[in-house]
Amino acid sequence: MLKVSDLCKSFSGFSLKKASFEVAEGELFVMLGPSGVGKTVLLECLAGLERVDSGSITLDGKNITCAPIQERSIGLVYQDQALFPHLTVWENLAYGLKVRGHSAETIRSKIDDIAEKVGVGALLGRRTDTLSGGEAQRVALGRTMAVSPRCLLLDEPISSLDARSRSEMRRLIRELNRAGQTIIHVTHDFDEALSLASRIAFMEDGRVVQTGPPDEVFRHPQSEFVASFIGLRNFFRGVLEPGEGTRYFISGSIRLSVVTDAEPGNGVATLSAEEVVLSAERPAGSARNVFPGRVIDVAAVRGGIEIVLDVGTELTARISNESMNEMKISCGCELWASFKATAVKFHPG
Amino acid sequence: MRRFKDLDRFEVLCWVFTLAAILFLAGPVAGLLLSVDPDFFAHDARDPEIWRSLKITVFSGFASSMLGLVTGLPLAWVLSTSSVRVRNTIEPLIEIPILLPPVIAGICLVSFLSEKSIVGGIFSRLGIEFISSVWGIVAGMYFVGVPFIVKTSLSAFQEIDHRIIRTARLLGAGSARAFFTIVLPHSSRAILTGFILMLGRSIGIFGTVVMIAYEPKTVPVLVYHRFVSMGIEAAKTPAVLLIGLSLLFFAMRRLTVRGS
Amino acid sequence: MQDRLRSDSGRLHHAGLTTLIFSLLGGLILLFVVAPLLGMVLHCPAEDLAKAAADPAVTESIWLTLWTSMAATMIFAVSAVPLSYLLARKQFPLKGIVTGIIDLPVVIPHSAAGIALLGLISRGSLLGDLSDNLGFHFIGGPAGIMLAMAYVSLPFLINAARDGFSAVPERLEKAALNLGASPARVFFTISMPLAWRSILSGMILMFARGMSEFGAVVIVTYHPMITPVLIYERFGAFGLRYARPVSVIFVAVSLAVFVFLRFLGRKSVNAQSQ
Repeated sequence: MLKVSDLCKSFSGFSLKKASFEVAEGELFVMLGPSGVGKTVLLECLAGLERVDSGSITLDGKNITCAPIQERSIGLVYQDQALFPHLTVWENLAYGLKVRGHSAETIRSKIDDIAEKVGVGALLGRRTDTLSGGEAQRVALGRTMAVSPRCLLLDEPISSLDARSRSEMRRLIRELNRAGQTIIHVTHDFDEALSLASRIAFMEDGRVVQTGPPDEVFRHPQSEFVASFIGLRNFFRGVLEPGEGTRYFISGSIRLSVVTDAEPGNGVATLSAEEVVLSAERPAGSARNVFPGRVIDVAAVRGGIEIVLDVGTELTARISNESMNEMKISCGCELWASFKATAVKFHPG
Repeated sequence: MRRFKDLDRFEVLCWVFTLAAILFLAGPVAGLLLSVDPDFFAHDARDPEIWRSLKITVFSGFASSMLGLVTGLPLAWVLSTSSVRVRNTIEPLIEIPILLPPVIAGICLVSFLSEKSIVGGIFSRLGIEFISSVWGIVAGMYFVGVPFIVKTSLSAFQEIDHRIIRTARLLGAGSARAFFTIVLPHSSRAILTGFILMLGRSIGIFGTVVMIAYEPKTVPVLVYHRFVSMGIEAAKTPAVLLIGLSLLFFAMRRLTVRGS
Repeated sequence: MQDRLRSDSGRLHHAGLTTLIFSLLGGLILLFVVAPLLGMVLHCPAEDLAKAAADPAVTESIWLTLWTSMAATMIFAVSAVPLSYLLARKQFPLKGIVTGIIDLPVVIPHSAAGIALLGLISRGSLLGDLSDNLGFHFIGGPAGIMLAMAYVSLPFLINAARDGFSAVPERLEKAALNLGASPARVFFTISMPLAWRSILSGMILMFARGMSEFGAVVIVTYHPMITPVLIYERFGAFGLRYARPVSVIFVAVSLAVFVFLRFLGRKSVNAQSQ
């Protein structure tokens, strides 16, 4: 339905560099990327609030790259809601309808409808500065929904809310989507993306680097950036050698044993940090991958400790607090790292 | 990328109004500068009457602004350290000379400083007459200009982190020393801006000064005098000189602001 | 220990002295700023006041001053507000020069500004001839007064309104555009209402400046006399005793008008935000 190709826009501090992606009717498309990679600007370009430098945007087969804002039918909800502070909730909801010159009767019934849908029926007479974050977000969503946009753009609609409003907001977004609304949702929170998306796109440095359903993106990260974003610490780019059963994957100075049926050639190998076992002596077990290394970083994370070893390349292991105390690991320690050949996942490409 | 047809009709209208406003603001000065005959100007500018009034104006302007510094900075400092309630009562009083119509400020000052009043009487006994004298000009300029120094330096003083001053005091500096070695250097730019503002205001003030002293003539009074007695052409020479002088101060102020 | 204590108390004493000197100097300024005004009001006998208040020349000139300044503010606000909006929102070439031009009337002395304005509208100039042919005279009428008042006071409105527009988050305008409103509609339904408080106080400021203007007006239009010119003339022709009551009445009337305008302004701002 919405197709974006080679969108370029330079801005002070960052720029969009040939961003391309496509969104189908009824999708909940989540754009994932760290703060400050131009996600908001991308949305403003789609909505026509910013002029693009080059590239094209088509909606329903019609080129809208240079179309006036009013003729686009793309609704944008800002992260900070941007409610009109001098108008009441009702007047905020009615703004877009009044602009379109609907009769008072239509406006009233439409607003009742929308207010119920986004759950702000009790707030209609309130001033916007008396609303909580979650309420304001609902009003902002309702205000945009009221003008029935073909495509709804949400700019980090959840990240500024408290925990309870978050889950309510997620539910609301899912409901809207189930009712057929096409949504492009921008966030820097991977969990949020996983819980909502029918498809995820990763943005890195002004480009869309990978798109796909959440589970696929999670299983096959195509770049170190995506891997680190989804919490996968060990990511190697290299060449898979030919062979049967257990084969070798060469990445820089290290050689990993892998079990795969894939065609030999270039690809990436990933390894979950939990699979890496650390020991002070050379391990006697059956693990095929055994590397000596020096500890270069120790960091506490949720549910344990992450140890970064220099084994010729960086290798991250996650261990429990108990083993940490037992092994007395500190920076500079010499340790052995080992993991099974089956723990290494190879993805061609 | 931006094409003319992208401009909304409303925006075009905005630009038309904007252009009109800018023409209105810049037109008269540009017109004046263009209408001056350079030969006549060069000849007329050598008139000793103009030179005399230029000297008086610049001298009185500097004298009143220096006086403004000496008295205005201590007041601003006392206000910045005093309680909010005191500050809120006194700050509006400082604005009186700015809010008062210049002519009425002149009337006020004439009755305050004439030899028949208490203050004027005291000074008169000391041999200082204000009416129709340079002293009166300095007093008038001081009255309308000192709020600028107080206001700019007060806001600068309020921005100073008071912990710095306290640290200086703990290191053994007296409060006078702290004021001169910490507070003043920290706010020097704002103080300079205030000084230039006051200088510009002093040199340009007409309504107040003309009430106190038609003679000796400052340049703004001379402009009016020449206009009334000799016509607009004769008034243009001092007017252009005056505009040049104030533009100079304006440029200086912009430079000090940009520097910060 | 003994020494320490002594030096501490010495320092305290010293601090007290500095503060004392500073306060004295500051008090002197305050006295010099407040006393002349107080003196003028107190020195004005009630009978003089009554006589001046009954003088039609005085009442007419006050009325003239009020309405010309008000009209100048209203008329010129129409072009000043769009200008402020553009200044707050758009980047354009020579913007620095434009902001400099806006401050020009504040910077140049008012009697010189009067000469500059007069040169533009006097007989024989382009604008003067044009208006004469149309049967409309700037000089010697309210139009000239308004022009002079507007010239010296317009920057105050422009700067206040620009600050007001800058304080309106651009996001709100974008959100309104996104909801389908045209730029004009966004301006009138979002930007203007939100900047209204600043625009209004800018207009009051401009009005006040226009009323108190003397230097530019006296050169462009001596007759009919606005109050500052009348005060100047009475002072020159009859002396302080005749100028003082007019001044007191004018200050009182202006004060009353501003209190009233502030009150109205607060009401309209409240009405806006409800």
